[in-house]
Amino acid sequence: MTLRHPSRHRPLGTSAVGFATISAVALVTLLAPPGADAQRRGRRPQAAAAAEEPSGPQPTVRDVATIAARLDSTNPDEVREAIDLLSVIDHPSVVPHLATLLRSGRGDEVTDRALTALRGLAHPSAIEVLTEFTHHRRPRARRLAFQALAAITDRRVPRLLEQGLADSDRNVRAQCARSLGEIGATGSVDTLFHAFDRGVVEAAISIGKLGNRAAVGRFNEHLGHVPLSVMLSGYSEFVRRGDIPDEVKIEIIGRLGDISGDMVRVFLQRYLDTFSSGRAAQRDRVRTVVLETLRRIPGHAGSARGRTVSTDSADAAGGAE
Amino acid sequence: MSRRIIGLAGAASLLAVGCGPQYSNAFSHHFLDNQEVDLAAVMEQLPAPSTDDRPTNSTGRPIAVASTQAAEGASRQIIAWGLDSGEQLWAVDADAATQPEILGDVVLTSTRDRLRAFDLSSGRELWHADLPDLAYVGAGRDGDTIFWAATVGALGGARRVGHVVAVDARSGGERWRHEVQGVFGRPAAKGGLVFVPWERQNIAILDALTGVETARLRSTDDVVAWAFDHPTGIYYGGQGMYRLTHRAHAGTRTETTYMMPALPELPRQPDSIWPDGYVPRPGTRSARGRIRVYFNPAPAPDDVSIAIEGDTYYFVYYRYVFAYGLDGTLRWTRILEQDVANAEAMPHGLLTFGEQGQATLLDRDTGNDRWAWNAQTEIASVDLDAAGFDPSASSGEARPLRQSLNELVLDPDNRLVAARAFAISLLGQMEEPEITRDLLDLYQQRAMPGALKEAIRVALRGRRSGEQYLMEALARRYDYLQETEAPPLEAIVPALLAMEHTEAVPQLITHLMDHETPAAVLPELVDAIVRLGGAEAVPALRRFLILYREDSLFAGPITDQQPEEEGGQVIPADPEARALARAAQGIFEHGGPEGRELLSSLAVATARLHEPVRDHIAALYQGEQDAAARAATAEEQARQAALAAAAAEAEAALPGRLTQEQINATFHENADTLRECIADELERNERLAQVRFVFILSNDGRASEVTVAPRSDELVACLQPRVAAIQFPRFQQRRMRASFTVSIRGGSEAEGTEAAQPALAARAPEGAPWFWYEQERARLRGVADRIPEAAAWWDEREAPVVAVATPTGPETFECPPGMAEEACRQQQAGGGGATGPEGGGTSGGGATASSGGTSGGTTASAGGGTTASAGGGTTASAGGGTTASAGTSGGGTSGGGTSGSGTAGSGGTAGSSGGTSPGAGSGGGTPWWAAATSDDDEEEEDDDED
Repeated sequence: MTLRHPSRHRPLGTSAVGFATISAVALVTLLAPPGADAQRRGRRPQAAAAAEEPSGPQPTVRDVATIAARLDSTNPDEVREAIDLLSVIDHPSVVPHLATLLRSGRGDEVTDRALTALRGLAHPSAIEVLTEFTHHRRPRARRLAFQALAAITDRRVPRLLEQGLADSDRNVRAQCARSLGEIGATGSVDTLFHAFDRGVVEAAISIGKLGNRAAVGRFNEHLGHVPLSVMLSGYSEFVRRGDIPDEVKIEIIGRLGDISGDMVRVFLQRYLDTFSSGRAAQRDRVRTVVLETLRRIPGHAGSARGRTVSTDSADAAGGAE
Repeated sequence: MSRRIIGLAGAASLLAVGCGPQYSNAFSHHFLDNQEVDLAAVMEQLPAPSTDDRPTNSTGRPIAVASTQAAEGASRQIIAWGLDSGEQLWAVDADAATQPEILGDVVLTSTRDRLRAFDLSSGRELWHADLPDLAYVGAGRDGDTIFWAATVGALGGARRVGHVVAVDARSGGERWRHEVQGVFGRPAAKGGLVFVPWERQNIAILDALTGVETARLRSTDDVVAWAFDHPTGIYYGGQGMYRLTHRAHAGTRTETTYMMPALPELPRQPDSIWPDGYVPRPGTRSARGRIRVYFNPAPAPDDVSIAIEGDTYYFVYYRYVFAYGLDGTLRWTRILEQDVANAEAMPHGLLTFGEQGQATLLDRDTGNDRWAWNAQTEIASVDLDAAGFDPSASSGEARPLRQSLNELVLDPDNRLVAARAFAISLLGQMEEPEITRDLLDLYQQRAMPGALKEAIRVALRGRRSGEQYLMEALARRYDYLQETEAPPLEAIVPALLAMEHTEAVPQLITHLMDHETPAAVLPELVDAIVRLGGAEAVPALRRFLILYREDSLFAGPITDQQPEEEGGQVIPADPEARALARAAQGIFEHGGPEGRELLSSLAVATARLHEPVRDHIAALYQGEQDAAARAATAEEQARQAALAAAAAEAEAALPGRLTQEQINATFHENADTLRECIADELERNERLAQVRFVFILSNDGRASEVTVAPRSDELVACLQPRVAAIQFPRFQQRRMRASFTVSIRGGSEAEGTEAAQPALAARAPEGAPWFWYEQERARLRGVADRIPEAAAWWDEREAPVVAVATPTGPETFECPPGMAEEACRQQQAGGGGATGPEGGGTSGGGATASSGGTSGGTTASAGGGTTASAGGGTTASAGGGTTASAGTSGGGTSGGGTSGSGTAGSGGTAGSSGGTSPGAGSGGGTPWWAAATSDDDEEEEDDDED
């Protein structure tokens, strides 16, 4: 499939998998509770998971040297276990040991585990070794390295993630595009648009998260040239943000109403569901526009997911509350 | 005789002319070829060469006659145009199977089974001839006769029949015909002669009137594939070109008038420099003839050379034209819009006729258009007769060759890839540095076919300039957002390696560590880093090896894996694994002890490293050991060889036999071994004056058959094994006899001999004091001054206490202690006679010996007698040559003179070796015993009677 940018007419090499992913992300994002985004930023998932396990006494920073010695073991299981234990310790002193382990050249599984552990540690001292691994020949290692970088709060990280958008592997590019949105790299919006023009569809979500009002207009230009699911993934971010003015959101809804169709209808319906059922919300201008737009979209009674949305039903929902 | 027969046959044929078809005598296998007389007659008959400056057709105008391509709803035609006016002269319907030929006022072509002749000026068909089962191959014309040839089986097959026919040009009436088993090529005709290529070996030269063969040419060095007539002469040949001259009878390239064009190896190079005369020129569109070299002969200054008009060859490859100078230098290239159906080389350029009717005259010097015209007709084949056609002057400057070659490479016509690759190779040979950049740019053209990319890679590898452009390209990186591609490392890296551009190593290392570098190029990249970087690249190689040693991407085989089962597929080597192995090898080669340490740790079975790479490292070590073993073996072999050579040389340098000096020197070195025996003997025999050895020396330096004098049992028993144990210098002769005498200082002989030295005594000045004699002996010793630092032990031996007869001593005489008074008196009385210098000198020896004192008589007769016979006689003969006096005195001295014996002995020895150098005397003159005697007259190999 070849898509053309409205102004540059560059081919967008997006795949069906990409669109499906974006669609799922767009819809799931809408349903996700506020604050879940912070969790997706990758703060110590393994450490948290390990901490939740009902295991024996937890290792402490005093055990680092002892555990690190096991990283040199020729037994991969022992090395893996040591990595897990180090990640549980969750202390910056662990980083050099994992860096040494990574640089010593290990098998895929150990390498990936160590990178994941560094992601959990999220310490700036790991940036150097992680940067090295953003040039690893194995794409998964690069992707994990970028993931780990994205977990670190450091001014160097956005630039590194932007470099990842130039990677030849689409998964790496997607990871970096998503990560830029997740870390709130507002300075990378232009780069994300560039990537979006070049077919990095995951950039849409990040643009939706980071773009300002002007970015919405720039994003709108892609409507009709980029698969709707991709656009919806960006719009879903725009419309749920509080810092985007209502008139901008209304404009977005209006544009989507012009497009109409099942996908838009479902999108708007889900969006409608995010409004609170309070009386103030009932009078929300945006909600009203959404309702009006939904009314204009013809329903498909036979569709499993489609249902005709009427003012009555919406009001009924509100009334029920 | 045979010529007479042929002549008669020719006469008979001549008589029969006009009486219908004649079958003359020709093409006989008995006809003698390359006959000088025959060819001289032919040369006489041919007209003088002239310039080719006007068309040969009857109108005198430049004309093109073409067969057209079939078009929908229209029949094929033959059309004639006047090129000077661009007008169509005529057109007739004809389904031409062969290219039309302009032959004077006739146009000849063949259709399916018929040969058809048209009037050149009107297109009217003049005549036709049936061609039953024959393939028309071509015709020539001379005067009013057309000679055409047709063949069955020209390209092979069981049946091979050739016809060559002479017909009236206007009526088609047959004048003679030959039908033979064999194949004919297109005939040429000139000066009343017809030149018929025959069986690809010969050219039969027939009389045009009778068809009788008058001469035959054969090249012993070439296949004769074609012949054509030209105003400048008759030409024939295959890959090269012969001109018919008086030299042609030689039949060889070197002795005839022959030329091989100095052209480079051209793409799809035709087998023949001129179209094959045995193959019909197709009248329909065909690839045949679209790749061809065009040239036009010019009048040659002599019979030896062949001249080319405009000094230019034109190589046409469909739409591309390459112009070459006679030395093979490319002048220009040109891309034409249409495939060239035919062309004609002319003085000012090349006239081309394209398949869509575009005629263009390309300037000889620039390749630019001198003239162009379009017939607006789809052409299948065309014949041109446009000699001298030059409608306008040249236009403009020649375009830079670099530019035109670049355009040619970029031309998108993928039918012509071979010629485009040829253009790439031409570009690569040019020295301009910018060509390197051009080649890189071309390489990165997306639509560039793989064959051309390979040609560019080869060309880049051959570049020796423009490395800065390679470095520029190397600095590029892949960037998805910027849409920049990775540089073509597969082309750049080998070129940098070929240029040995070591400055590129840092950039190459950057690419090594860049994940965007394609895996396929990794092995070559690592190899270049190793070879260019040497030890400096080792840290990067270590990083690379360590980082990826366990990574799954690098886990493949490093060599192609043959299938285990028959019919299975070969598993190709994994480039990443190969790169890793090469990196390990680089560390092995340049990493020093630290690198070896790393590799040693990785080579063990438990090391974390992919097995193929580990095996490779182990193989490196093993290979090194093997190489070291081989080197050691080779070194040992070389050493042995050197030793053998040295031994052979030393053997060759060995003396034929030992000189007495060498024997003396050897005894001197081994003096201590003899000391005990002689000392013991001296105890037994206090008056022992000398010991003499005579023995046989083998060439290995060993003594045998040692005889000792005096022959006391104890002395012999003691000395024989010790002398036999002495290692003498080696020599070449199988064995020799040698002798040596130990003259013991103070021995009984000394006294008597001392007085009996006539020479010394004779030199005593008159009235010399009594001590003069001692002084003179001391002086002679001083002159010799040969006393070595480590003198033999017996040098220090004191003389036995005996009365010494002093030739010129004082009047008084003291008896030695213990000597009987009577004896002493007798001694005194006897010695009186010897005191006179003259009398004592001349006869003193005998007198002394005989009256040598009471205690010396026996000894003197025994020892002195022996010594006198051996030493004296020998010395006299040996020393007599140069130092007769010394030899003589030496002879005397050997009888007992102490210091005198040394001096005289040295003189005698020197004499024996033909010289009187002090060095020669040193060996024998220094020690007290050193009065050696030369046994030259005893040294015959088999003379071992002693």
